[in-house]
Amino acid sequence: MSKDKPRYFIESLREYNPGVIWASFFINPAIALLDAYQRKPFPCAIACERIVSAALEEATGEAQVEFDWLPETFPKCQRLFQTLQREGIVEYAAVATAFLVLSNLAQKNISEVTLRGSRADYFLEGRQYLLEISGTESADHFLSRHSEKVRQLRSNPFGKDGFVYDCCFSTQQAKLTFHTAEPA
Amino acid sequence: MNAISINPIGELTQRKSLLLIQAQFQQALGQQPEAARLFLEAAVLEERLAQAYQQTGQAEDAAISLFSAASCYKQAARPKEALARAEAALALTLNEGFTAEIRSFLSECQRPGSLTAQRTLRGVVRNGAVYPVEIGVLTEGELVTITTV
Repeated sequence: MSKDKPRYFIESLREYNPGVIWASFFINPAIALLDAYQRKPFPCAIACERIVSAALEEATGEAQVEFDWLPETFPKCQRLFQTLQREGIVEYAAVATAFLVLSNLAQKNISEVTLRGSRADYFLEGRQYLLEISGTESADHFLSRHSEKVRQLRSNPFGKDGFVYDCCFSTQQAKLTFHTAEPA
Repeated sequence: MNAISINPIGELTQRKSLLLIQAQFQQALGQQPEAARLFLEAAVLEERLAQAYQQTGQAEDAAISLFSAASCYKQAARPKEALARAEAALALTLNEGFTAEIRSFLSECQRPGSLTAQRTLRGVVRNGAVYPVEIGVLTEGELVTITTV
């Protein structure tokens, strides 16, 4: 039943990452996107691989969770779609949900953004792990995108292990996997 | 005198991460001059971070920060600084994969016109209505938001 699912409040990004002032940046876009689906709380089935968590169902390796938020956090949230392209909002919402899921299911917190060429790298737990994130509203390429992200993560130039998180908002599903880096 | 606990790496890391997020956001809105200003600020902090890592003997972490500084300078269309920081990162890292990545970056920077292309995708006006978007940082530095006004 819905009430048994762990509920992750979007605003709790601040609490999970108290010293990480920039984590708050992703809260409002996430609220705007989830609110647009008119499902509050927003359910999400998260398929996990190589993640150890009591929240996972033994039979499926999935975690059934709900994302929720306080209406007063961002009352005019739908206006964001008038200013930002939906694609960007989806991207930021994926980052927000990734950080929440990582904190709750993998007990790993974000610590840093660096730039590598034109792309951003997210580091977890100091610079111990990398995180690859993607978000979409199309189910068509969900799994192939995940495979591509896994390839990118495993071949990262730093030789760091890490996590890949993909979220498909239209189907309310996500995938979180852990990978070791390919040997140089 | 009381000892004060200061973690310069932690503080620099958070400040430059915030600047990078803001810079990318401005870039996405097509606000290139503001994005460039923020990338430059982030680059300076990445260089200070690299120094801090070097002082503690963490050469690979220093190289990561220098390469991020180089990337920031590239985003801000400052090729001379970008090349110098990337070369400094190259001198520090012993990691083969990272070395290859930096060399590729250096080749790209040396191509004519490589520093002018920017991503300007996301600022849009729809249905005749425009709601300005703001990035808010409260003075205590605890809250960073994108919001409509």
